[in-house]
Amino acid sequence: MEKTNITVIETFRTMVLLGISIALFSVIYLSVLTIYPSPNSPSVNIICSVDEKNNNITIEHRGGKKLDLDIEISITIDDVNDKFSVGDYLDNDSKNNGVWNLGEKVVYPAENITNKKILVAVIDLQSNSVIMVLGFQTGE
Amino acid sequence: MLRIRKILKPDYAVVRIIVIILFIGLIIIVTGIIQSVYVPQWIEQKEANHMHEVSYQFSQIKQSLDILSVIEQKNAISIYLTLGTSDIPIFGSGRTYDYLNILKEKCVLEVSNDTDSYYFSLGTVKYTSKNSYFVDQSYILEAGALILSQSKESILNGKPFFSVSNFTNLSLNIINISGLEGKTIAGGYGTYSFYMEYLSSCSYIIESFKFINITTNYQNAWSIFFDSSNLRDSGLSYEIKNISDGISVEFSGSLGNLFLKVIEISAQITPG
Repeated sequence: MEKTNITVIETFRTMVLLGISIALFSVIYLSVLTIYPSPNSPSVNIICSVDEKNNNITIEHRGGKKLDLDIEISITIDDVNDKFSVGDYLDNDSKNNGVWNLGEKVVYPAENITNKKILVAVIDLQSNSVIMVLGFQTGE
Repeated sequence: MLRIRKILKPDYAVVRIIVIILFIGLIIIVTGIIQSVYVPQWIEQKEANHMHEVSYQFSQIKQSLDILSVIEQKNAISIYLTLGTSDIPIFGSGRTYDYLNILKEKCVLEVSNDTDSYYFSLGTVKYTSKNSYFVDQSYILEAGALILSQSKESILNGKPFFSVSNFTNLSLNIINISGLEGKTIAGGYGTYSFYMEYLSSCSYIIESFKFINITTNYQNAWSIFFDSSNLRDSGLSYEIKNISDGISVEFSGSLGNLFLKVIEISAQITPG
């Protein structure tokens, strides 16, 4: 009778311990699985040039990952800031494929960029990262 | 007291086993997440860095070709190219293998006027990456131009000598790269030397040229080349058209002369 009791108690304890460990394991498993990193900043080469003759600021994709058309570009000319999406200033041929790809240019028409401080930033909203940021002083 | 010990002993063993199982499980989960999430990101970044390195190395090859073309003397320059990327430590994945080829008659330049057509078959150099995660890129040296290509798109990274004089006369230097037999293909992982040797040059004057056609796979890059500010600011009227196997530039109005210089360069990939 005593032996049977001990066996029952041992089995019960083992089951309780197994239950607790499975529950703990599940909690750890779920919590680790949900720690996914935010997407990396895309590896891409972008070159910006300023055409003082035609008052254009050109941002060109020079190789690397294709980018979405909702990539944000911020241009500040002497403290006046303008934000827009890549798709707003790509030509129609470039927009047809739905991405910003190699050799495609964003041509931003500015009013007057002579003797101005220009700050250009290309921002990827998906990864919440700045792909490129640079400043120019024209007319120097 | 003895009875209590007897009851507790098996429990200790179970707890230890469970703790070990839990610990191993945790290690497996963490390793799995690193393998499936972080390792691809690291490999992609590594491949992107390698493409930057290759871009720099190809710009050095272009520069060397330009120097050999300018000095026009029996001289040679070697540039080292890195093919492929090494694998990630510990996880042991991410090794890639790239290819470098010297191709025969891949590009044809045709210049014609009202009476004659002149053909120049040119050898090219092509590097092709075989990346696992980063976008595949090709660097091509064609007729003295350095072209970057990604799938069907291409851009011009360096142009051959091209100038306009007297508003309508064009000067163009093109480079024909011929590979030494048996030393024209390399593939794999490692650093390879790219040896270039000046052979000769030949000049041509083509009067009142009307067409310049280029047989190429990289139409966009050559369109960028011909739609350059040199030509836009010249007195020539021209139209650039994409044709099935390349591009065609048709000149109209007042026609000029084309001063064309073809520079012959011999190249080999592996030493010996």
